[in-house]
Amino acid sequence: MSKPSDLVQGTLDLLLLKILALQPLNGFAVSQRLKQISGDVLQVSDGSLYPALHKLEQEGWITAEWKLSENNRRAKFYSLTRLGRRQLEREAGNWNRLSAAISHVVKLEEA
Amino acid sequence: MRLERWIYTIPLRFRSLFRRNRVEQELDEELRYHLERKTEEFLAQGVSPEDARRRAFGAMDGLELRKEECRDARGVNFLDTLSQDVRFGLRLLRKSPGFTAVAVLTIALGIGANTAIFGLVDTAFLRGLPFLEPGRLVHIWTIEEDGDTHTPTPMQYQAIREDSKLYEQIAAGGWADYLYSADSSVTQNLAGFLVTANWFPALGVQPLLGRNFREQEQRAGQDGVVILSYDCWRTRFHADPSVIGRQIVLNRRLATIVGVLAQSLGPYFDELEIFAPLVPDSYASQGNVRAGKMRVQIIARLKPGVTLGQARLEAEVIASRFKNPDARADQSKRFVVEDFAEMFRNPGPTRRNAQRGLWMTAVASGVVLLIACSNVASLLLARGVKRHREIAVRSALGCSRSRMIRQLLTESTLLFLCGGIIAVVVTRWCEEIITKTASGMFPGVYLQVDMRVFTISLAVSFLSALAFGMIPALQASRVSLTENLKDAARNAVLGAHSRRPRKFLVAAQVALGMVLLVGFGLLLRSFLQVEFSRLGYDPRNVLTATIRLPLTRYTAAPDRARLMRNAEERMRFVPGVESVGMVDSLPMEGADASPLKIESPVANTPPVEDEIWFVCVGPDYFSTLRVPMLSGRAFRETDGQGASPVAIVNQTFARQFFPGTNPIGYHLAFRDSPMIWREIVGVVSDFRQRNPEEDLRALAYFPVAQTTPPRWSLAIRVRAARDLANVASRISGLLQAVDPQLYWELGSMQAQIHDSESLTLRRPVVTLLASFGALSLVLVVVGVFGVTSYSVAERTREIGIRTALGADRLKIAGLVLRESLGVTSAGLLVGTFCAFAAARFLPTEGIGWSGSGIFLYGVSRTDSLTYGLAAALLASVVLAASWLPARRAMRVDPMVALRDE
Repeated sequence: MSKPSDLVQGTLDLLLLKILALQPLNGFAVSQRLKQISGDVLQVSDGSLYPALHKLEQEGWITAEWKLSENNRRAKFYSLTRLGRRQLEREAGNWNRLSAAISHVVKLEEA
Repeated sequence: MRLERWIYTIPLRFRSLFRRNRVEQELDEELRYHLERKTEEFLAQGVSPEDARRRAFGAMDGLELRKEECRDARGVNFLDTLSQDVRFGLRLLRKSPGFTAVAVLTIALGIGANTAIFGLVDTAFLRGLPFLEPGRLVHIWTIEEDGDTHTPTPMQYQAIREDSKLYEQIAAGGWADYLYSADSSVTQNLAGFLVTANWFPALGVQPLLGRNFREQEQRAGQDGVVILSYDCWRTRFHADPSVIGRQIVLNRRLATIVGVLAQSLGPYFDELEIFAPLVPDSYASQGNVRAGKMRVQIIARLKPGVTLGQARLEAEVIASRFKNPDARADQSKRFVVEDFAEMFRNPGPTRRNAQRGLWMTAVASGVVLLIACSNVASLLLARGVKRHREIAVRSALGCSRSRMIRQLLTESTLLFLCGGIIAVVVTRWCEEIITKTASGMFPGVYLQVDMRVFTISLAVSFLSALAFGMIPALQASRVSLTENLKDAARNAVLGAHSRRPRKFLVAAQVALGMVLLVGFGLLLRSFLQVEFSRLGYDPRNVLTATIRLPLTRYTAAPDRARLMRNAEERMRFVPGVESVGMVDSLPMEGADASPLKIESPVANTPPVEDEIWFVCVGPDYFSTLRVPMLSGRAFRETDGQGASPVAIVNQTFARQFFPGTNPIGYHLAFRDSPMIWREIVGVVSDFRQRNPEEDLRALAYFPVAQTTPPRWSLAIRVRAARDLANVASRISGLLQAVDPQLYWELGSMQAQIHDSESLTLRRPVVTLLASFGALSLVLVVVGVFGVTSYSVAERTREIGIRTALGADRLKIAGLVLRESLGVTSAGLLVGTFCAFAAARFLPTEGIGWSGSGIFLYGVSRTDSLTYGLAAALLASVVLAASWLPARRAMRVDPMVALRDE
């Protein structure tokens, strides 16, 4: 009911950190960017996006400020902190190791 | 790293906590922005405005739920939820005051019982010694020529004080007896202790009121000052703070109260009521020093860092230098230095018996708490059923189950904490009466509700709330949405199935009640058996006067004999007195034991030697107690000093050492030298000398005139009960005329039994268990009444239909009564088994040589009368409790019932 079952556990955090590392964005923009860059493969419901963002904020990895958005309305923009950058490096490293290992296993020829 | 994180997170936490509205507003705004943009996006795709909005909301899947998740991310949200839950809970509880009152009172009773018992157990056994750094305190003894360990003489105390370098303080004390009369009519014997001025400082004990003794008060003439123990101050002086400076008469001398101690002095000194300065020069004549040993107990405080080993080494050196006062230099004389705290690790039999009694009551109070808790749990369950609708609606609105459980638990915790606080407050009011009830067991027991007891009680309340609130919370939150929102289905769903957990809890209460009542019943029957057991003598209309001789006078045996004869003679001629007997130890006081040589009835065999209890009695003692002589004669006036030494033995003695023969004419002797053989001249019927429940034991009696003890009693049989007061009022005057310097205590043989160790140990336990039994009955009544009422209310519709279909009213009542009887019998059955199992833990023997204690006596663990009565009592109580709801069921009007929904 509440967990994003459409994504490998923990990958949503990685995605969000990566997206925000590129440029500060508001929530709506993040949801659009997610769809855009993953080419609709990764389905993240709008519902699970905000709790995840708030969690990252409370961890101190991203920080928020209210700014005017592209259509001149006040919106909450998130950007990466120094801690967040380090976290991103760590998670990206983990992800690379994990995906490499899994693809290695998947590519094994059947004997 | 950690620190850097805090830089970001701490301001956020503070913001969430203290700028809550602002944070909420921002959350709303953020989400609104998203929804608006999303709607615009859909509109751009050509969707109708209404549809666009709906889809935007839909993409959130559950806006409120998502908001809640965002709040959870804040990390401090639980505080928020808690305050919300507490407010909601309080509102709900206020809305049903009846339920709240019953539940809170029930919990208060359960927790209160436990608070009281825990307080007693805590002060009696759990707290450490009430002294400053008890690890540095030592006890100093001597070993004398006879090889035995003794308390040192005042002279030895001086030597240690002068020569030792390792101690901060070396203090001495000695037991003394004080006669105190509050209103000149009743004289009480107070246990006193004579102490040097540094005794309290050595222990590190500060007085609650007033001051410690001063150095100059250790001189004769200036020692007219006393310090009261806390207990003495409370019981005899009504805790009056103005006692300081007041003069009281002790041993016919004026003494000024200069201090009151703050607390108990721990198990070793707890029986002491009065402290006075020890004056080394006149120590022997002070305060009627007990047992005439004229020795002191030395307690010393080691300097910081000094070990016991070093102290022992030094004691050796001092002992080697120490010269015996009468110039007989003795090499074998040594000092023994012992860890003071060590003495408390092995408590004596009285303490261990009391400990056992307290544990029994602690278990009983635990059972009361269990009953109270299951009672409240069943009420909560019943209430949960009523709230099914509310809970279903909340769950439909997206409230998660764990959130619901948390809220329900908050409610029950509120109930339990309220109950707990009331319990502690009430227990605090009842401190006095509870202390009074329990103090019989042994002197150190008292109840003091302090922060420690308070904290523990609240912790117990909290844990009970979690444990017993969980079942109702789980049950209530397990809601099937569709079925419950459909109104019509309600009665069908909430049938017998939902009542099952409640029935289980009621049965559990009955079972627990059974265990408690059986335990109480067995101990009560034991108590009654002891109280009304055949003692072998007739205690009615017998007064007692116990007389102590001033130790400095009457040192010669003939003087003592003359004094005793004189007192007995005068007493005999008081109008109303039937006979007077003299004895050194009254029944229930026990007796001294000594190895005796007993001539063997078998020819040419050496005498048998055995440790035998002996009592010294006067000529008319047996007839005064109405104990028959079985053969031979009683002692006569002529069996005095100079006459041929004689003895009497009891029946058990005769059976044990002279099986099949008449012991008269044979001899026995103490092991002293020169050995004096005493001829057995009579056999007396057995009677109890120490306590009512002991096994009969072999006893030897010697004429009081041939032994002349320093303390003896008169047993005065009065012709009729109406003469008792008259005779009692004349005893004091008479004794004063014999010698104005005598000390005496007046009593009666029946008081002697009432105050015997057996009954004083048992009485508090039985009283406390009786009140717990009564409590458990009340709780069972409340529980059964509540649950049956709820179940009748739930079944109103069913009952209406039944009535409408022609069921007669008795059948309806039967329906209700049958249900509670069914539950009760199940509970009784299980309870009986549990009681059997629990009774196996009840001891059947006392602790220690005295044979008294708290154990089953004269009743078997499976006593059918006790079990039967307990079951009958519970069954009738349950029936009575379900009668009112049953009557209500009978009066259900079918029309009203069917229109009910």
